[in-house]
Amino acid sequence: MGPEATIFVVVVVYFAVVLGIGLAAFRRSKPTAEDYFLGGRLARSLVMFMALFGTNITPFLIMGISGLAYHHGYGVFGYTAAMAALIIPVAYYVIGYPAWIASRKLNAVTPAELLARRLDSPNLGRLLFLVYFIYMLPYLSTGVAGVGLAVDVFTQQAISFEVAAAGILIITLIYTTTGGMRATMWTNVFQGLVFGVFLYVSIFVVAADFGGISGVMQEVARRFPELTATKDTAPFTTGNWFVWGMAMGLVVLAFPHLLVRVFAAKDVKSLKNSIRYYPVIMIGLMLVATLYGVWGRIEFPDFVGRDSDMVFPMVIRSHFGPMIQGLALAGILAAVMSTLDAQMLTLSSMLTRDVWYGLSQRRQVVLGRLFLVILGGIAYYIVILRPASIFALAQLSFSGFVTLTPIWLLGLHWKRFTAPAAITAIIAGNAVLVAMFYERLPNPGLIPVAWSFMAASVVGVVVSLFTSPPPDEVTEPVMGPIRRAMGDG
Amino acid sequence: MTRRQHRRIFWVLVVVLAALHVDFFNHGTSPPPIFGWLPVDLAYHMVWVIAAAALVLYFTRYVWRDYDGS
Repeated sequence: MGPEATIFVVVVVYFAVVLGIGLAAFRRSKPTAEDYFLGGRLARSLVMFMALFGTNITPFLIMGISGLAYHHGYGVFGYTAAMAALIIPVAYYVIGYPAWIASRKLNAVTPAELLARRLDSPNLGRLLFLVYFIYMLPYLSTGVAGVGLAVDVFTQQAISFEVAAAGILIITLIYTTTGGMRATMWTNVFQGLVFGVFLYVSIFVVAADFGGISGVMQEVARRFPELTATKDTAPFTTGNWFVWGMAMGLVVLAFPHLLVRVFAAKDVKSLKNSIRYYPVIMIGLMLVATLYGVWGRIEFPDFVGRDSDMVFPMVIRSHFGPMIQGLALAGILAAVMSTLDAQMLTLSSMLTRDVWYGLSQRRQVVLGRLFLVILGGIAYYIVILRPASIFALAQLSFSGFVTLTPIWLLGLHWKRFTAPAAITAIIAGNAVLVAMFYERLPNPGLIPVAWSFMAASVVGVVVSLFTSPPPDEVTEPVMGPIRRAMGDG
Repeated sequence: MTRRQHRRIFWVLVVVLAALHVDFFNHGTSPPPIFGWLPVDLAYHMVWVIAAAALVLYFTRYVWRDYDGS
């Protein structure tokens, strides 16, 4: 059997296992929206941990960070990863935990539904769906593009970028439309394990090939000293360093597909247990991705611009045989599918709950499935255009999501916050972000997301003070329990 | 120590750690690597992550109150 055939067989076996798990989950599911979108709110610690972990592991992490580290060196770890170890758990405490309480009190299935009910404004739910949809598409496309690139490298163009992208979308659509949240969480356990174990083990094998960790580090320092020196130039200027570090932590719960995972937690214990360990394990993987990027420069020193996204699969191909290459490819597929399924399912649930609502439970599920197919088509179109590097696309998407963070903080902690304030804050924050990205506004320093975050915060507070909040009978059933749980009441 | 006191300590430590994350004192410098191979900046942020993980264990144990449904 040739190397490409071996890789193909390993990947097919992997797909069969994932589809089998999805099918098993489908057999356990009930025909209700809560079961389809939240797995019946029964996720315990291990499933929660793996669901959050698997959903966070993306081609941005594997190929985007290694691609950036290829050009900028070890400093990428501090820039993109370290801060998240603290900020993600803090965000789970100040946003995730109160949102989990509110989702139960309001019987909300989606993030948009939660805020729309909390602020008594269906239009807010519709606007949130629109914003989530717009920023999700570039993020979603980074995943599918990552698969296309990896398949292209591993099969040496035997399977084209376009065919690989279409394949991953179709497989994900099949198990997501049949099994819903329960399937995505169950498959995440398997996919998170495959990917996490592979990455942690493989970096030691690569290091050994280079003569050990100290050997490869010394070789990098000798040949590319600029990758080991800490810089104070872009993108690592002090202000940007701090802001991007914060953004990388805050964005996790600004992702609707992550917040929905939190809603699915069975109890606080499950939430706490998962948050204790998954950020650190995830950040360990970011360290591994950084090392892949920097060390890959030794073997492949000539990548220019976004071509460095290929450094991870190229290093794998040069150090491992076809069986392990197949596993690596399966790992990347695992990373993509476990994020893609959550992203698609969450958007589809928002469509049926927040935009086109009033349908029967059965029709919600049918419409959700139909939407997934259409979403897959749009995502495929963006992917084959591939307008920028994985890191650049993700940076744009993440900035948009972070701009929503003030809405969550105000909505979950300030009783006086109003729907008009939320709507104007979303519009103002995003207007500032887009204007700065297109250089229509002067940038006095820092990266655009810092200014859009501030704009959304200020507008949210000021407009709230000039508008009437929802009546007590709407706010108190949610804000009261949150206050008591946070120790403020 | 009360939960309120733990909470104050936690938030102070969050601010301290967030400030320490910005290692401007390392920026633009090229100190010799630790053990002859580990870049100082990388080592610094690995230690920072361990400190952050310890703080997370502390706050989930002493600060985060369990919701009792009321």
